Amino acid sequence: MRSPVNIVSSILTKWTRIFSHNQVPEPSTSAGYLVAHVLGKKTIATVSKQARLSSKQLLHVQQLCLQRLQRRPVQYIVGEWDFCDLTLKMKPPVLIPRPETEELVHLVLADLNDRCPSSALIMDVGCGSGAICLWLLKNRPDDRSIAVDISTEACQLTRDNAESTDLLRRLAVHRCDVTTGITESVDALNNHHNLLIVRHDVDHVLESASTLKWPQSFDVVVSNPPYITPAEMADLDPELTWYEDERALLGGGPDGMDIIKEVVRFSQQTLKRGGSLWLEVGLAHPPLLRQFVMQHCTGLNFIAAHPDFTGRLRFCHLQKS
Amino acid sequence: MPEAPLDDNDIILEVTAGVGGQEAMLFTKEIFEMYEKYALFMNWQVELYEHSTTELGGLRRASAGISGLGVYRFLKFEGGVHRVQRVPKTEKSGRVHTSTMTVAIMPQPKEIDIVIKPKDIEMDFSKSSGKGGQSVNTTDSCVRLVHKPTGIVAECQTERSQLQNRERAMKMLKARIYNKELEEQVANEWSTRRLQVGSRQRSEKIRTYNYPQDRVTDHRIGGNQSNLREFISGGQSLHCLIKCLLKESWKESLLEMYMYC
Repeated sequence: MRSPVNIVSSILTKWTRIFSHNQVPEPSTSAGYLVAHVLGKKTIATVSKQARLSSKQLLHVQQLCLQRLQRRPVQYIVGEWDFCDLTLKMKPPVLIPRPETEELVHLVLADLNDRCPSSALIMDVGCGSGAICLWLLKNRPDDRSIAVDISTEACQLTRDNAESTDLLRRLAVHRCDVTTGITESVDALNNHHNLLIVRHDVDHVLESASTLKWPQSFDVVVSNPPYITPAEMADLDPELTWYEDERALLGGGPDGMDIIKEVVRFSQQTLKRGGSLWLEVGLAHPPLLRQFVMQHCTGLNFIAAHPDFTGRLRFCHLQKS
Repeated sequence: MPEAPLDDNDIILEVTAGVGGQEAMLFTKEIFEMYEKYALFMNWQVELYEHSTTELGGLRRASAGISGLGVYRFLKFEGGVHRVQRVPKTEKSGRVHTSTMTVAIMPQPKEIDIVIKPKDIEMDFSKSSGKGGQSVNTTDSCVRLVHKPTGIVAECQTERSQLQNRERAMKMLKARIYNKELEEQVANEWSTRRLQVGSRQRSEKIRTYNYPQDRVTDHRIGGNQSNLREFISGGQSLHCLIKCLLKESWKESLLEMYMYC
């Protein structure tokens, strides 16, 4: 006897089959998340496979699954995702946080707890959805942060997420392009020129930091800058190329390191003495970055490269001497 | 009452369906929910680690971490085989069936209790090949850990965040390794106590839930509790039985001390 079409297990089987047939990646995982979302749950793990869906819910599942058939990422369909223990809104084309970045923030936290027992000022370059700066602020209640991104949508999303996680008081978000010559950009910021201040009620401490001296202001600069090479771009899934901001992915230059180098130069000027730069980079980058820093960056030392959960080096720690 | 050394620890609660097919799995779900509600009643925190449901609405097995004040102390005698006697929903002839499920209570080790070398742990996750990082979008955050020296495994996919799944799988793994060590120690101790913890208990029938007669019987202290529905709702009724068990256990340990000193 076939089970009725409106029970969860049937719906999951059906859509897994359809996704699979249409080469949609992670077919059963995708179906699981979308059905769970319709039922008000985060994951399919606790949903009873025997639960019945109403006709309204069935329609909702269908609408969401049709979006997935168009390769829309699950995180955009559901409109939110978890980064460690933070739930953040997700909105195209702002980059969806990757699992590797969950490890980056833990490394930065350990470094901050070690060097700055009291409060610190953190700069997040290329903040995207705000995952990095918001998670750090949540875990260090006395810190303040400035987050920048080239994208207006990213700045708005970071601000929205800061508001919903009640961290807006300690964060200022600025739209700025770190590649248009850092010194100009810094002076520009000092003069509030070419600057879209998304937040109006800037905290007094942040106000002084942003208008005072940007040079040597930050205890930590952290960044997950775009680092994909032109060759890799050609291989990316539609989930990325059709929906995520190319500016958040394309690293620039034949080795994908252009933006990384800009962030390094920016840190040279804006880090305090003894301050740290933490970067998430592509797998080929750590040795290239080490060489670049040795040859071109006086005052900055390449401290170490750390592995991600696959055991491959991905996180670079630099320090201003 | 004096505290035993592990009373302060948080625990991992594991339920597994036993004999009785679909009916056993439905019963497993009911018992798991009973303890979830009891945790709420006692103001404890519950973190779900594993939850494998069946197509027909039952629970094959589940694991949860429970933390709070006195968790192990109150739950330690809940480990063992629980038995249900009732007419299953699918039964046409109205006959009473007996089905079983097993509860395991494992204290979670404190940091100093257990040393695990990172190189002894192998982690399985999706997309282990490929460039990873920015070059791919992934939502499959399931994590499976294997402790190579003992072969003990723990898996978690109840969270969207891979890191959270990893943290929970790690807690489960540590608890399982720790408990294996504990049980090896306890196996050498000899005791005539009715109330015991550990693997010997795992196969002991400790409690029967009889629906037609509306009673719950704990086989270690005898006596019956009526109002089964209230009992299984994980509130005051269950709490009373647990307190009785603790009292009995204390009396037994005094007796044992007296007999052997």
